Amino acid sequence: MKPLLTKTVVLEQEQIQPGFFRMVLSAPEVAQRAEPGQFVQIRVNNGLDPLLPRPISLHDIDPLKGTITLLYHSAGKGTRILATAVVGQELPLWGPLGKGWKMTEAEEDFLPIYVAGGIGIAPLLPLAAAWSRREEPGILLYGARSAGQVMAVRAFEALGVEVQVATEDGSFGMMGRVTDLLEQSPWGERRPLLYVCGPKPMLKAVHKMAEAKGWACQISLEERMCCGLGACLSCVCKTKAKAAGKAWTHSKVCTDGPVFWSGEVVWDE
Amino acid sequence: MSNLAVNLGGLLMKNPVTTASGTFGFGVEFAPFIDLNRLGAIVVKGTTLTPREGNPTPRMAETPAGMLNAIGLQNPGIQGLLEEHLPPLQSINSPVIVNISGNTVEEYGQLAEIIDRTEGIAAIEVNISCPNVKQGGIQFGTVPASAAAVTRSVRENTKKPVIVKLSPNVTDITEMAKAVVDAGADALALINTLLGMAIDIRTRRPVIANVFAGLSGPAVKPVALRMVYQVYKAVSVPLLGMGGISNADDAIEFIMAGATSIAVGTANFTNPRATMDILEGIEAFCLREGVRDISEIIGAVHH
Ligand SMILES: Cc1cc2nc3c(=O)[nH]c(=O)nc-3n(C[C@H](O)[C@H](O)[C@H](O)COP(=O)(O)OP(=O)(O)OC[C@H]3O[C@@H](n4cnc5c(N)ncnc54)[C@H](O)[C@@H]3O)c2cc1C
Ligand SMILES: Cc1cc2nc3c(=O)[nH]c(=O)nc-3n(C[C@H](O)[C@H](O)[C@H](O)COP(=O)(O)O)c2cc1C
Ligand code: FES
Repeated sequence: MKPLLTKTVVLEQEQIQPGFFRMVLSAPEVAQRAEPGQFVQIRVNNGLDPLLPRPISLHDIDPLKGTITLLYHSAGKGTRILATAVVGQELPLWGPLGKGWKMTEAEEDFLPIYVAGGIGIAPLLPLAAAWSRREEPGILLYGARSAGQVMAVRAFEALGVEVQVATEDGSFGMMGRVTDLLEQSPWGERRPLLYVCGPKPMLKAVHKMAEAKGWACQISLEERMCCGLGACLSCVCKTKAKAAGKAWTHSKVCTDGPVFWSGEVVWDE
Repeated sequence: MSNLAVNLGGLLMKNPVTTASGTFGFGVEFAPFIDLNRLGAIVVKGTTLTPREGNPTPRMAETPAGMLNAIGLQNPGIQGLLEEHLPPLQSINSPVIVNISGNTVEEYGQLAEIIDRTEGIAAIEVNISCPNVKQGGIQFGTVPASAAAVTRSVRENTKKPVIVKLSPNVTDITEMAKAVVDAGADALALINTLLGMAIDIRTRRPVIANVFAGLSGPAVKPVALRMVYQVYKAVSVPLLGMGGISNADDAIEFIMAGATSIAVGTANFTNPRATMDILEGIEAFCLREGVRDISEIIGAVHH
């Protein structure tokens, strides 16, 4: 579905953990066309500084209410301004953008395993909602630094998702990393389909495991973006070339992704 | 309604608003937001003889009221452009301008020759802000003799309008302008990006993988405007002005400084409808100010 440029209105803005915000926006047309794993380019103000929009994933898509929800970390200049937006404020954005998570055919009988690192939890919730509509809610394996960075667990549980958490300091769930949860293959005899979002080193570690064990694995990448439309070529990543005689090519994270099969990506640096 | 049609060195445009190369992809990317038929012309991404993957990432950094880019001319090559990206533009009622780059003077000529015999391309914009591989990588656009040689090579291979795009990274832009006009340019485009950089103080490393990158956006507007003003006085060919134009007032400033047409670049990233907002703003200005023909205000500041 084609993206559109729209002025959204802030309906809710809440700090759910220190530095992490959940924002509900009225954006009926975006909600009607969006799919899990897609994102929007949101302007944090109407001025010239910051100049560029920020790419933020859709954390909840509600076509009936006409709302979208963003879950974001106020990390730098732009997202800190976003965190000051108040209810009733207008925020322009364009979207939905990119190619989201791929659901497989029901006959293939995969069990969805959501693998999240920190704020990487954000785009996985609408995917879990879609899988739970298919009566296959799946399992969430969630790694975070500490309890203060664990979010949205109840929303996953409400969908019937089994949730396992690992924190580096042991303040929530098991002490350890998300890869430790993966080691235990909690899906038993089922065939897992991994959906992974988190920091790059985590994506790479999970990809390596998936490759070694033959698990199907999709990952959502981040790159710096300007247009989000495939026009500026800021946001490229290296992917395996299909043409003969070439090892790799540049794909656009904004329009070819942000979701890729982990085996498509060239994981060098 | 005022008459907004202009003639940019033989290229007839229904209005002065076009797009800055590299910021508008191949046009269709913006079709969900605007009616491409309303653009005075569409300038597509910089094209080279063979496909290029461009620079490693990070290729982009935001700066106060601006941005740095070092895309490194990633493009599918001229054949890729003709086969894949030109056909969808043929149904659109706006002239297409192809922006070309080369490693050598000869490559520019070859590209011009291919474009000359291709239907559906109205004009050539020559990007001379590229390293001259045979001369130690010094940019064509910073040495008047090299810039002139590139222009001549293009001119000899095409009858289509030749627009030479000047680099601002020079001591005297009028010297460059005169050199390329003498070599046969029908029009000049200016400015390309200003060379800059940014440093991540935590890692103590440049933000951009390529170290240096081109600055664009509102931050460069006063510099670009000054250069359009100077070049207008120095040469008599029409100018395509750009550099930080984000609204109709900015565009009108460039027109008054001497630009016949204007290009919208970085503003497409803050507002994908920027070209249309600017066009409508120019129309409204002309109506309000009693301007019957846009030519009345081109270079107005000099009169
Ligand atoms: C497809 C996609 C989806 C995303 N979804 C979410 C989400 O749901 N929740 C969330 O908290 N974050 C998400 N991010 C990351 C988010 O875009 C960055 O955290 C944000 O852009 C940082 O902006 P800033 O103003 O805080 O930082 P600044 O330091 O001011 O940013 C400077 C520039 O760098 C860019 N930048 C900095 N960090 C990143 C990054 N990690 N990825 C891309 N660009 C970056 C900014 O967009 C800006 O152009 C997503 C990124 C992408 C690409
Ligand atoms: C991401 C990006 C890519 C660009 N690519 C090209 C290019 O391929 N060829 C070219 O001549 N100029 C290129 N430019 C320069 C623009 O066409 C324009 O000259 C410059 O950005 C100034 O205008 P602006 O401030 O309105 O963006 C690029 C600029 C940006 C921001
Ligand atoms: S952000 Fe512009 S091409 Fe991806």
